[in-house]
Amino acid sequence: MPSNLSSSEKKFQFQGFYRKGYPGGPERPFIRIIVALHRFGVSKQVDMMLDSGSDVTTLQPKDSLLMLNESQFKLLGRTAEIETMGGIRVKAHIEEGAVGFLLPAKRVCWIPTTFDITDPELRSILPSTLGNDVLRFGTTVLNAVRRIVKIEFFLSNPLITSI
Amino acid sequence: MNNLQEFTNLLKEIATENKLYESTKVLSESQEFIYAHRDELIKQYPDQWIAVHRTDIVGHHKDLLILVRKLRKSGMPLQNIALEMLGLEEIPLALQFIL
Repeated sequence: MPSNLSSSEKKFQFQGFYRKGYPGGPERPFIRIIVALHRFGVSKQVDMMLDSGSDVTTLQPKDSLLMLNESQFKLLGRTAEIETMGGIRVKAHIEEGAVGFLLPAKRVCWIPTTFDITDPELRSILPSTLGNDVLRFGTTVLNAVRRIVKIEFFLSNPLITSI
Repeated sequence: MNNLQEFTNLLKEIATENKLYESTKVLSESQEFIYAHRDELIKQYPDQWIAVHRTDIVGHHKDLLILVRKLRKSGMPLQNIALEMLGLEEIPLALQFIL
């Protein structure tokens, strides 16, 4: 079967998982990734919910507070009012960084992106989400019945580092 | 950032400085412990945030900010800690901001 990848593109495949957010609630698709905020020199593994309905990847206090001191939130990029899940408008800081996907042999495939980082004072308990800014580089397969969460990226110039 | 190579080098440097590989191993263990024991943990810490390091519950509180301040003060390696809200009821995601 002929490949539909151009000669310059490389395919990367990553598996996620379904998990319950709340007792009795629906299971939602998640993927385990790495977040790096290069201006602050920090990186951390984060379980992010896949949110193809969102343009931007978000980082919620549950994850950002473990990466940044409270005083560092003031140093994040510009503040903007963003529309989050359900159409609620909240204050968020916009910061450049990268999301990383673990590859075999202690390597990471990085995708540079911009994060909406929710202000911790908002007391949000939402999960951090992987949005279309990242998902648009590939194909996402979700099947709740068979518990399949799969992302395939087609990258022509992948950023790969060892860790 | 001048170019992609410079950015790649910076990410590699951050990953090394943060001992990212070791951290992902420990954090995965912490997170998996929560997922596997969620039902028991909810009974023990209803409507609270819990902090887990490997298989140890290292903190719990109703307020996330207070919990993280306590963890930071104790000198725990925050990079290796998993946090989870053990909510008793399903709340529509949008409402969580205003409750």
